[in-house]
Amino acid sequence: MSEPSAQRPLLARLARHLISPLLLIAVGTPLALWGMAELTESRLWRRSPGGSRGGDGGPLTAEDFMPMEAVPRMPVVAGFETLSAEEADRRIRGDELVLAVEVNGQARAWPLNVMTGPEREVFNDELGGRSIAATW
Amino acid sequence: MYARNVDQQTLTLAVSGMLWEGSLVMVDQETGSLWSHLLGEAVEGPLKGKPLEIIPSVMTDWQSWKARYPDSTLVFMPAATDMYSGEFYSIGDGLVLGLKIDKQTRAYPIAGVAQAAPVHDTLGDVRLVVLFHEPSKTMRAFRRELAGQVLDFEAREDGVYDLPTGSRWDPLSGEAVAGKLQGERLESLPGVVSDGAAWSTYYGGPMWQPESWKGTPDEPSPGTLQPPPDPPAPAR
Repeated sequence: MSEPSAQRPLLARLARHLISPLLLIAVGTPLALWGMAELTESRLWRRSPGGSRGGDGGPLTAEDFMPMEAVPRMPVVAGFETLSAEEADRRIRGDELVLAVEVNGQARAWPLNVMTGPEREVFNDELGGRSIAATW
Repeated sequence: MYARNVDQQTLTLAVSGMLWEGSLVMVDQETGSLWSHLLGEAVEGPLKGKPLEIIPSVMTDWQSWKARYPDSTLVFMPAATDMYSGEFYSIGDGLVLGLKIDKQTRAYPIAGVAQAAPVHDTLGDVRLVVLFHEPSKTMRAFRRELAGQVLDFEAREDGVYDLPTGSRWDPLSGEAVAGKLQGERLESLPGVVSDGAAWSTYYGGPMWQPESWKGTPDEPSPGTLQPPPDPPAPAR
């Protein structure tokens, strides 16, 4: 009779001592994990704004603009020479890639081999009555 | 390819010398605003937030372009490189056709388009078709409506045909070259051919993939910038 009655208070005492640490672990662990995940995510977000932006895959905007200077500013490219299709055949290969456009019935092509390198990435032009910028 | 008019003002654009996320930043001579080439929008300066209108352009090879547009002129300057010829595609360059309609964007990787063209899709409220010209590896997107009629397309041995009328279409110009609709033209949609990685950086989001794609985890999907599954040997 004395044994069980002595054990019960002991168990109860143990339980009382154990309950707060157990509660702390049960509630605290998920909280801590969640916090770490949040932190990791926000770090990733900052490191690669292109890859993991917000999760919705939305586009970059002007507010994200963070340029780096690579080369000096280049002079404007405008007023360049154009060839007729027949003349062009003597100057470039048939399988050379071009960026091509037709504007109001007028067609023009730019060899990609020419549009490469910082000096020549944007061409200011007029075609079919419109002012255009050829770039790719 | 952009129109360089913004609010009645004609701009003269130049290479700013800056890169943003690895892509070109342009500057206009008139206001000094900075323009993201890939966003097609001013990102700094007095015109910040203003978009440039995209002029639908084609990336193709010279002989294919000249065959459709014999009166075309060609801009001539000494070449800066010789890497852009037909063989360029066989190395698996990861190009995408990126469309931008009413602020909605979607990219079509060349490998997937080569496999599944004609691609029928809807972006915003625009029903579109992406056509592929195999010899020149040219991708083009068109509105697949003509005078209120929605057209479905199918690839046959000798070209691409619409189903309602059986007319044959030229994938490069979007013009019906034979059949009942001969002489009709589909409206080309604004987009750019771009490096897939750069497009993803700027626009995020998943890329279009063919429904027929049954890739395994070891086998990257066409959206992951791999060469076409079966690159045809260049005939030239």
